[in-house]
Amino acid sequence: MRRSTMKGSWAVVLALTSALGLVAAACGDDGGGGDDGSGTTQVRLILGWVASPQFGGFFAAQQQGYYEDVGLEVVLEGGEVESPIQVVAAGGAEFGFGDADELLQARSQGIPIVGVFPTFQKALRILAYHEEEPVTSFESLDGRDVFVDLGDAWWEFVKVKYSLNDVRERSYSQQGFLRDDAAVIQGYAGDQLELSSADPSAEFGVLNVADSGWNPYMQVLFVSESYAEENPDRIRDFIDASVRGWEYYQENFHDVHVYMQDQGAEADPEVMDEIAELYEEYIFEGGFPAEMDAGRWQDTLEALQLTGVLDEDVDVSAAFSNEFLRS
Amino acid sequence: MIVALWELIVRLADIPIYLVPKPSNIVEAAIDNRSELLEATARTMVASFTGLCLAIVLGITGAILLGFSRFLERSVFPYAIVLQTTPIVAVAPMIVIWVGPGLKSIVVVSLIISFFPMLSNTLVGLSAVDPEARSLFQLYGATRWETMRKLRLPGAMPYIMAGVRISGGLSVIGAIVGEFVAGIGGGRGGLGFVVQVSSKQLDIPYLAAGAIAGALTGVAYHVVSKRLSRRLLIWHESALIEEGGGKSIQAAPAGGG
Repeated sequence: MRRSTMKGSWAVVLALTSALGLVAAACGDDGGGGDDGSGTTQVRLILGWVASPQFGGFFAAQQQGYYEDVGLEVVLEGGEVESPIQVVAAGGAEFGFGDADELLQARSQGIPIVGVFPTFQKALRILAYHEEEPVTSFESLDGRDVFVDLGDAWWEFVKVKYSLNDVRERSYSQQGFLRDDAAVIQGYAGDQLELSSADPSAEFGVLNVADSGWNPYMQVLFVSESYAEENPDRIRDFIDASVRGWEYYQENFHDVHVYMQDQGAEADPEVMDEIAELYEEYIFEGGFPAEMDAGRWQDTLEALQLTGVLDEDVDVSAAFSNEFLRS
Repeated sequence: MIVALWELIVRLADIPIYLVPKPSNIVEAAIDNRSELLEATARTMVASFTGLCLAIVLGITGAILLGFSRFLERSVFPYAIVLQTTPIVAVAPMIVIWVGPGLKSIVVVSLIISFFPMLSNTLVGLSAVDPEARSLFQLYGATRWETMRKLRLPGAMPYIMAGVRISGGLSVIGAIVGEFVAGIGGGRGGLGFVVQVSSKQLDIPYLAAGAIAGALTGVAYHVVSKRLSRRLLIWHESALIEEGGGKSIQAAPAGGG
């Protein structure tokens, strides 16, 4: 007990220093990226994943100089990032991607972010299985090994809705799935193509998660509320340029895929081409760019509430905004 | 006192909960999820304790074997070092492939991470023998095994207990890392699952609660091993005093004891 006074003082110094550092980080949000003096502003977009067709339009905009046209130097930060939402909220980037359910969850935790542009209007989640042991219904997942990103809301929803009390949920592993014919793995539409190229001898089938009733807007571009208040025109310009990028990508995705190879893309351009063709209906069908519908956000909120994952109630209208879309 | 300061600073600076949770938030999260948290802690404890016990047994046994032969020690010890320095997060996925998912893999990961301190510390202890006592044993014609059993091993006890204290904390880390890769969830996960899920769901207070539960498990091992080592060393001291007080010099060669 005698030594605790000495230890206590050091602990106070440490606690104060770290607290000050954290306060600085929390306040250090914003005003956006730096002005590099040549008239362009730098903004960072956290992709949350490696360069792949789901970001095709954004890479196209970068490649074709559409961002430069509006005075933006855009850094597309690829790579696996656990929580783009936390990064943007803490000021580590101006833009990030999140699905509507993730944004609602964040808001229920008090994180002040707002969605401004939906990349995918149609929910793309799938569950892939080996044709030797097909999955015919969500109920039949019970008792099987399912490789998922643990804690994902859509999975919590499926487990609750179909009472999957004996499902063996495993940490996501493509290898684990490929080695076990009875296993099931989560993915996005198009992943079955990647699986086939990883194991050409096997046949895979998919179950559309949207059929379970889980249909949020996906890969929604979001910013912090303060950034939205302080830089509305910059956000409009960014979205405008990105929309042009997607329109270019729609016709010229192969070229963009070649460009993406230098930006850290992992798949072959040919595989990416096939995936891009699949994405056509998920992105463009129903008008592009799409104004987000409050009713759909409300449905997503209710599905989330079913999972018991939400802490507080959320005002859906504050979670997204169509004001940055130029029609 | 630190806890109070933490609470105060975060409140005054109004730091958001998703950056730094206050102790009050963490306690609240722990209470709200107490049954899940307790079950998860229990599971992690089972896995880490099993891994720790295996590490102790295998570590001490390995050290004894290596302690018999310098040559053996020099040829085998480098591999033990490689085992220690290989990042466990890189090895764990391979272990799942070889051993299969679930408790077995988690125990293996916990074992691997706690093994080296036991081996290394025991080995050092076995070598830290009073050279005069060693000569005495040689003089009385004690076999290498007798020397090991009656001189070197008892003499190594303080070092062994130090190893146990280190391995205790490491075994918990190993169990949690193992759970990241090899765990089977569905309501039967350990603290590794709590950490992954709460992180994904941005429930920072619960994440902190899970991490603290893991730390407390490590602390529990530390406290228990400290108490145990005190008892063992007292016995060890008194045994040495009894034997070393002139009596054993006659007793040893005949005794075998």
